[in-house]
Amino acid sequence: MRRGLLHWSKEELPESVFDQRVGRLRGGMEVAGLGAVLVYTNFPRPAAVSYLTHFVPYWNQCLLVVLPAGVPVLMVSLSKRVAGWITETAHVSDVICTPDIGGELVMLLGGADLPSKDIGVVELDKSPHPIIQALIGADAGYRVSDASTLFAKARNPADEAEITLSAKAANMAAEALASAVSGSDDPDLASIERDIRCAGAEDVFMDIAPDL
Amino acid sequence: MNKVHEERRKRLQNALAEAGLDGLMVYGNAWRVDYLRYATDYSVLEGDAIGIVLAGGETHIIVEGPVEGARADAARPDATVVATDDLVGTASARIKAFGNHQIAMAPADLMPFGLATGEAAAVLEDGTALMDALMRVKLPVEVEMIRRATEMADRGYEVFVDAAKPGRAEFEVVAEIEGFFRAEGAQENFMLIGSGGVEVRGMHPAGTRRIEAGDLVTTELSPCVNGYFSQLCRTLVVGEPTELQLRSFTVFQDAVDAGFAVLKAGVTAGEVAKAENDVFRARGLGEYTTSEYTRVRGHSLGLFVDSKPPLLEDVDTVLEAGAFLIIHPNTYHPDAGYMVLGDAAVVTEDGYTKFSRTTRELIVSTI
Repeated sequence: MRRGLLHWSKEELPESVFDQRVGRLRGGMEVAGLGAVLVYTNFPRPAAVSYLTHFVPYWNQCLLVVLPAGVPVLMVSLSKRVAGWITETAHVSDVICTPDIGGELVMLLGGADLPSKDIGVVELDKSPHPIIQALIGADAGYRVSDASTLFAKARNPADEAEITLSAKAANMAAEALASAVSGSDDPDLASIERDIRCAGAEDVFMDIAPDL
Repeated sequence: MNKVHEERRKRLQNALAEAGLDGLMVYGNAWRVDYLRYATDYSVLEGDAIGIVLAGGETHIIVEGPVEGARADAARPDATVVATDDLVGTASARIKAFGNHQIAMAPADLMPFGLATGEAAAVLEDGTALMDALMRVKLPVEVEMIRRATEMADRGYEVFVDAAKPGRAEFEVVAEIEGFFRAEGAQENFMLIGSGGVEVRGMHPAGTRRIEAGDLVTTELSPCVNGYFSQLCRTLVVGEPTELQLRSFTVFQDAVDAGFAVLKAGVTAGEVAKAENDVFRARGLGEYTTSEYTRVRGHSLGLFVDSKPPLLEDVDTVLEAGAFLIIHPNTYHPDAGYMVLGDAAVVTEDGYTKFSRTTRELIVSTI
């Protein structure tokens, strides 16, 4: 689980940043003739949805639906009691809390007046089978294809907001590491965990190479 | 091979033999590592992973990226480890290479689309129920891990009480616990927090709100020891509690007691949930046992922190001796706000064994 600070600073990341990112993806969608793009996420795989909406799934799994217009919709296998928290921390138009993401997806797309039945899925082969199968099996003529390359083109290059935040994260890491190794041959990893989270990190991943 | 893995392996091999299966393919990621861990004794950190365990014990672990590959090699030197950029393709090719072997896959609801529909799919049958049955009933060696995780939760809560002082932000409080658990060797922790008064409807990931005198501060701590999660849910009040807070909390205490009073092998998850909810209903608080205010009245625990079965009145899963679960009637109370209380226990033939020593009183944090 992500136990660090999950908080949206609109000074660091204004809504306009996400609108531009989604806009780039949408441009690719139009060229590719896609009616929608789906992006699956869970807490070990947050990057794509986080890039587009700021949402980080602290737990469980979710699906972002990028339609031809408007702010994307987020479907989450989380309790409806956290829907308010999600809208405070993410740039999404609607949060649908459901144990049946596939079923809700079919209903959403069915009511969306899509320009095309071609649906792009980022990392299609790695997305959970039941969600994709619900779409294919809906008898509505949807055709799914992998949209990973499309997303990668929209994802790069990094924008100014991302570069600034990356530098901030790097500084956090450097300070926490310096503090942990200061005057010691045996770094205190627990102090890194504590200090970097106190500095506002939403998570920290540590790798050690003991044989160097 | 460590003792826990050795005993799990024997159970799995017996289960495969009884089911007439030649092997098992399991999927895992850092969120859902339970099936993978049980079958292969490997916990993936980055990316996804596939484990293939054949009857006889031959084990293949397919991971993404060289760093994860090095970790898997170190953790399971006796397994065949492949680090790849194409997890689905590599796993499919492995399954196909086994020919006409009957391989079960688990968990079916998370199996990657490419694997569930690719060339290998023809020989794959759903092994989720087989794995769920194995994971539901804990071996004595697993119970020992649970005992250690519960003891760690108790100590972690002491750190929490010390940290949850006026002026501290929620994320700073959580950071203290994370530092403690890391120092103690916990591999993971599931932890939500809530702070405030009657306006608070639930817990959430740590935010920027600063704790104030008079706040109720709720948390569920779920440290993981050698893959096994325990959980503790407690409510503390910052400063002297009001009569209303104390009175409100008694329904949670009585509901937990009621749940444990019926708990033993042979009862259903629904019966335990009903016992808890009946306490709320008897006090005119039945509305707060519904899905508008609460998700579940407890749940199983093990290699996953939120395992099946959940404790809900419509769940008729029979609880067996060796099942490990938490009873937690966490919900909103209209007079006080969101409150939590929960303890975990291993089900026995005649009752249960509980390891936590933290008091079930409303915790008073001195200012």
